Amino acid sequence: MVLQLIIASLAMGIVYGLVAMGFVLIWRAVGVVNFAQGDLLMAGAYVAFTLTELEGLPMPVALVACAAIMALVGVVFHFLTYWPLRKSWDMTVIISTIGASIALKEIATLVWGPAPLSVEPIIPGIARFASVSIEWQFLVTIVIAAALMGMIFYLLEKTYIGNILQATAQDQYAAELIGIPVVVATSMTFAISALITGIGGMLISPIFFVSTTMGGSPGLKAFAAVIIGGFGSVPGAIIGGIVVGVIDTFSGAYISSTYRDAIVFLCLILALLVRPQGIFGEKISDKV
Amino acid sequence: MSPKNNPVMVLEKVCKRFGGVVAADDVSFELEPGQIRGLIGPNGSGKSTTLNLISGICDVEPGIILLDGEDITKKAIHERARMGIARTFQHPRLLSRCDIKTNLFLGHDLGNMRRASGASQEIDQSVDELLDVAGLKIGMDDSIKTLSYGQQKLLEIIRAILTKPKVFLLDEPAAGINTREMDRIRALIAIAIRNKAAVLLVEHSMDLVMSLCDIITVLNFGCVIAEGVPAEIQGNEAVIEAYLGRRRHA
Repeated sequence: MVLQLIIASLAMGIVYGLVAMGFVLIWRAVGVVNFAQGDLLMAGAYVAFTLTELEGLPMPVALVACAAIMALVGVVFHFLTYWPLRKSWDMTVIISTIGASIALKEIATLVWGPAPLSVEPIIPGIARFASVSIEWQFLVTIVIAAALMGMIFYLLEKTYIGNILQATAQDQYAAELIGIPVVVATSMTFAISALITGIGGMLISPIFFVSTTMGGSPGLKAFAAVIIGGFGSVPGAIIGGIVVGVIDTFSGAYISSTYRDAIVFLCLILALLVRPQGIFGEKISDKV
Repeated sequence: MSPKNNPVMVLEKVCKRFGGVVAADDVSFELEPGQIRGLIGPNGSGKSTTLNLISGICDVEPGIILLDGEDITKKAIHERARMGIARTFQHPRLLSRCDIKTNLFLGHDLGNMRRASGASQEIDQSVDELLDVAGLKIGMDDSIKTLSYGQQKLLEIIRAILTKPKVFLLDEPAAGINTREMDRIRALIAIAIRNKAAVLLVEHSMDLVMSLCDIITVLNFGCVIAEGVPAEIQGNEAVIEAYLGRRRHA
């Protein structure tokens, strides 16, 4: 039982971690919290539904196609919600992302209808290890999400493109003056953010029903993960996501499944009291 | 002085208004390769605005800026940087969360894309030489945060020189540094000049301006009020008036 719960909480936690990473990338690049991050997860789940259930694509193809589509969604999202407002006050951009959150939900309702949809697991069935039975979907989720995180981490830390993205995140204006096209760097950041969040949506779509409001709770929990991990830190987002996943799953199993969300946010408040800067916290900046 | 009428950059009647304030009013001058032009004037006279107009941070309205005969007035900041306009800041703007290597080469790699050459050995040599001239004994993997303010200013100048700029804009390089570092900065500017950069120096330290510049432009309230070699500027009535006020005739 405990081992199953650990695997389940890791699977949920790593998805929260993906969404949290999406939050952090955008926050670092343009200095605002994207309130539509959870809705990008929802969009990823709907795209996955279309690709697998409607188009019947094989899983690996659907995964790559979903990633590509979500990257494109990220670029469009960037040019609609951020780029025209880049010179205005941060709050304007934040409100613009709230608008995008509403718009994404409504678009999903128009395209896919209001009824929740179900998606087949990537690998159906149960894996048995000795006396332990674990759903394959949880294992697949952990493997794919961890691989994706590794790739993004490598891209950001070890490659030339990553340097350009980081330079832009640190000082847009100074980056432009050494010849970096900032529009390319910021739209690429939004693309990566939407991609990892969307894949998160694809991975949890067989676990939950796909619905227009499915992004709300994971979005908030990922935001909690960002705060617990340390605002602005990529490793912090991952660790924070797993911490939230563990609290979420175990409190649902042992305390109360009704109050699991409340317990997660109670822990967030405790974390803020004990270590407000988060696990990997840098100094809290004026933007928070 | 180098031969005249061979400018790499031309400003033609460049203007900029912020609401009712005229920050630049018909500013015209030319920059020639291998020459240092000083840009001086009292606070608020439009020196930084002029640098911002050249690097593209502010839009020119109206006026024309030519680089190698090409109108760059409508070009984006990063395009201008890639065309060979480098700049440093009064307060250095390095990437504080990256190491020194990344800071030095990020701009330079982009420059190499422009020239499509892989002359990495030559670059390493020039980095060593520049660090030596600047007296910086630093590891390439050190964090920017380990550097003092003066060292950061030197590093920013080195970064700019590495891109082999055609036009090199220096915004108050001497502000907030000690005299030894000042000498290092002089030596670095000399290297930029050797590389045929056209230098535009905004500076309040008159020692540095008068000893270093080939020609000086003086701004006041956004207008060019004088232009000439240092000796001429030092004796110019309008300049003295702008800095010290009008002498009252009894």
